[in-house]
Amino acid sequence: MQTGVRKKLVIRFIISLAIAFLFGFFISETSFQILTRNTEREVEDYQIIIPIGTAERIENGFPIPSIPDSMVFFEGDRIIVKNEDEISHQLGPIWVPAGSTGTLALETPQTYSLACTFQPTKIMGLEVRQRLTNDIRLQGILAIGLPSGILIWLFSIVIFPLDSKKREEEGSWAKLD
Amino acid sequence: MKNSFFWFLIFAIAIVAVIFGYIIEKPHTFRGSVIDPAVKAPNFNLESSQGGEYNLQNRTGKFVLIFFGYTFCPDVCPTTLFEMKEIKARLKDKAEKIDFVFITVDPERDTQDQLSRYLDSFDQSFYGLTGSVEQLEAVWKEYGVYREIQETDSPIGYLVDHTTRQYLVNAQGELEITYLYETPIDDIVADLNYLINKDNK
Repeated sequence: MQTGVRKKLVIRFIISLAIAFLFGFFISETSFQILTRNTEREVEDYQIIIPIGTAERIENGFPIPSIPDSMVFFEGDRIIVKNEDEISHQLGPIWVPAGSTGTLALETPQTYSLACTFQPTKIMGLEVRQRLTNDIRLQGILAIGLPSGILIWLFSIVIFPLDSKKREEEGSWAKLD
Repeated sequence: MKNSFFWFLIFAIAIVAVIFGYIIEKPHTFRGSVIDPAVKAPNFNLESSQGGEYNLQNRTGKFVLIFFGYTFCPDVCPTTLFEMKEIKARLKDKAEKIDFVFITVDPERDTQDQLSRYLDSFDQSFYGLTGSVEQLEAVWKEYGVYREIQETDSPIGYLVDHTTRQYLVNAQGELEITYLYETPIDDIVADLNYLINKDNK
């Protein structure tokens, strides 16, 4: 392959990638804006404090400071349960010994129905939704841009061959000889 | 311009690899529920299926993965023990740093011999612990273990409803992480790998 042709191929590859990434950017960003219109927020730590005497109050049938029956979180959020009571408590997957703190990073989007020792109903719902992060935005652009760029480049070679004129010229010179 | 295309491709691949590396390589996040700060694990001294007594405090320097169950359990216990066996296999040499401990919630039927026979079908290195009801009640309470006998017409006798959580005690003898039943094996292995590597440093 001649150096001139190779150079043109490289330039065409760069242009193809630029077009594809621009295309990927618009597609990814449009989807991102639509999907995050009402849901986007920063990673949050949701702290729940179990006050001293909670177990005793539950045992005696007294009301306790409660948490909602159902809670919605986003991927990456953390639930921190601080147990100031004298016995261990459980909030679904979090078991907290007396006087300690239990932390759970919500890494997997899922809907849970969980046992809870300090909720009057003993059951609570917990929904973890997928977070649309900058990483996902970047992955979206890459996922669209990279393969599209290569495809555009390959199609451009098929549709507009680089050295066709040169070959034709070489062919006509050969006939004249 | 000789070989420029080749070098350009290498450069492009390297850039993409760095970006993906940045995205994928994140600081370790524990998959279980973390007790922070870790608290001293309540000690126990119980009869072991391997003979003699098992004292938690004497195992300092080792990680201890504890599960509460019983040998007549039809579902959760064998599944969890099978998972423990799988965890041990995946950790390979690192598993030597871990004691896999099964504490009974049914001391009436789970004698040392019964535990020994039962656990041998999973892994001979697993410890099955039992004791008197009084001894065990103290341990169950300390570890927040729920346990209730359910009478059935089954030929195997009664069933025992119980907590299905696994407790991880670190090499310093502190309760550090707990795992819910059905936590993926990969998640527990990832945490143990991380903690053992950290402990070895």
